[in-house]
Amino acid sequence: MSSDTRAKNALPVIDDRPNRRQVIAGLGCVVVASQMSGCTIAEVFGDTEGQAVSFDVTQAPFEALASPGGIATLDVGVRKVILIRRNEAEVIALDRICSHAQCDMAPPLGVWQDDALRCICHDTVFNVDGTAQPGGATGDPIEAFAVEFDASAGTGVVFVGVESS
Amino acid sequence: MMRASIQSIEDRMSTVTRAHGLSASALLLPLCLLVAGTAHALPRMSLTAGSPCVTCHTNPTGGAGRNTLGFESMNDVGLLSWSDVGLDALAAEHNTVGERVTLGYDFRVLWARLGQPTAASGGEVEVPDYVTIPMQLQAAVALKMTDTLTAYGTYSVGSKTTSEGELCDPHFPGQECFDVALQYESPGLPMVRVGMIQPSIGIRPDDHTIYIRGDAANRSQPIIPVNYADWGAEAMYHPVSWFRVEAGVVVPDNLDTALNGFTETADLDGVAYSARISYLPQLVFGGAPPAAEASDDDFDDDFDDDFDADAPPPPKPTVWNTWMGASLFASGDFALINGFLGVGSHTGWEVRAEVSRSTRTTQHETLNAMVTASYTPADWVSVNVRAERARTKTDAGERKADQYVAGLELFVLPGVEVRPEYRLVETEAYRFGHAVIQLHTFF
Repeated sequence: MSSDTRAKNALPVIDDRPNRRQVIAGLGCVVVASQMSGCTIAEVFGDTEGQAVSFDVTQAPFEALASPGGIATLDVGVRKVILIRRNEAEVIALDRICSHAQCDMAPPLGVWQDDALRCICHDTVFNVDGTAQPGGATGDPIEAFAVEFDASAGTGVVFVGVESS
Repeated sequence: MMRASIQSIEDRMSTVTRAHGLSASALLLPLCLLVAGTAHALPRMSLTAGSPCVTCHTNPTGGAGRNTLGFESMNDVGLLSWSDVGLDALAAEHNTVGERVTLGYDFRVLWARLGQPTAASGGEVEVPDYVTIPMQLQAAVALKMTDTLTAYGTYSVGSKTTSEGELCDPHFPGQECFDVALQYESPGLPMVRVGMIQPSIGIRPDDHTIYIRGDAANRSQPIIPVNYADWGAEAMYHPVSWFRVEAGVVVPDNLDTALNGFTETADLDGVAYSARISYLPQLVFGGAPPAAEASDDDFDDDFDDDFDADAPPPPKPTVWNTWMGASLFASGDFALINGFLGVGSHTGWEVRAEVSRSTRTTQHETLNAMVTASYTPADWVSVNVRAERARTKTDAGERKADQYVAGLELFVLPGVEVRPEYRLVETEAYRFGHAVIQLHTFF
């Protein structure tokens, strides 16, 4: 047996250099991949209808809103909302899902500090109007919902996905 | 019976190898060059080549640092060469500095829609825009101190390293910016590495979005994050080709951050224990019967003729490389158990499955599974599909996430890979499918 024959028997022989067919196939793969970018499938399960929800800070699950800095959460269909007692007179409501990597900012992942909501997943801070502060993981805002709050009565209405009255 | 058949296969392979006059290392070299072809620690590479990650990587669990063989392998693969595109200056000839130092890097950037679809007012569904996501910029260096002792390490640059001057900027809780180890390796003895290391847990994936180490209840906080490492030591013993075992201990500081960074879920001890056992029989079907105790001298005859010169080559056997095993990583009330099974062939196909289950102090149980298959028709392209399922039970109920991925790995140039994929994710809250493209350069 010659040394060449032995070498052929020992290992599969693969020509590393691409031939014309391979080049065409490679370009075809890139074309297919680029076309794939148009195939986005997006579906949200559950109730997507908006709703105006009343709340009372003396009633569960909103008792935490009785004092400034308190946080409560609320699910309206598929929307997840975080309610924050910003000060004595005001309650704000924000989308609870961080616009960066979709962390749910229900405590402990959401922290209220310095008049802003901080997502500790990747350190993004949102202002009370939902805009993201510079320097965070994303500049994309989260949705802010309108809230009508009567501080003397401790009751209010949050408008999730619907126009306020 | 099984043991006997495995021994028979091994004997046969050994005989075949001797008949061709090739040493094991000589066989491994071209296998890595010609068959594996790819340049980073892809599990499929191990299964198609039938060799462990440490064949081409300094770190036995893979990663950016490649040895000379690993560099030669990666430098030989590409649809085009640097010369073809007129950039000879970018062609690397070696990854060594002097005789003892090897260098490497790994850079990845991803274009994807980061996040999930959300319900907008009026019943519309909004999807996140495509964004550029810097995934990793990792530098690696290894110093071969003696024939048996190697020091190696990697460092990953984060987005804040340049923007805010932070030296360490981990993305996930428990992720580490660096690993560094002193590694002892001597024939016949266990390989030992001591330092900031990632223990051997299941099959280490190349893609950190794989669910097998993740948590369906919080996908921003995987159980074992990418580049997880802790201070400790691990020994690997690979006495025969079909059996390997690793065992080690680490101080679970980063594990504690991964599990308890946001919410306290697991009471850990002062050490975490890891063990992995692997059974790697090589299955051989068909082919020519094993040659007798042949040597090169047997082919010489008195007339100095070569009677075999015109004979057709004997049929080649079909060889399947397999890897099955299990691992345990535990500390205190936390335990992560992985089981895995893979089969591959040097003809380019590979099928693999893995299951993991974890438990903690609080009600937080994960059960994840994955099945993946790939085919590599040419060394510069590989087609792969993957189906995954993640389930997490907590006090709040069960969360689930399924993911289906189909993609290509295109090695356009030596050290330059483009990875287009289509990903479909389904949870109880949404279904989201879109195309992503990753650019990966490495050295």
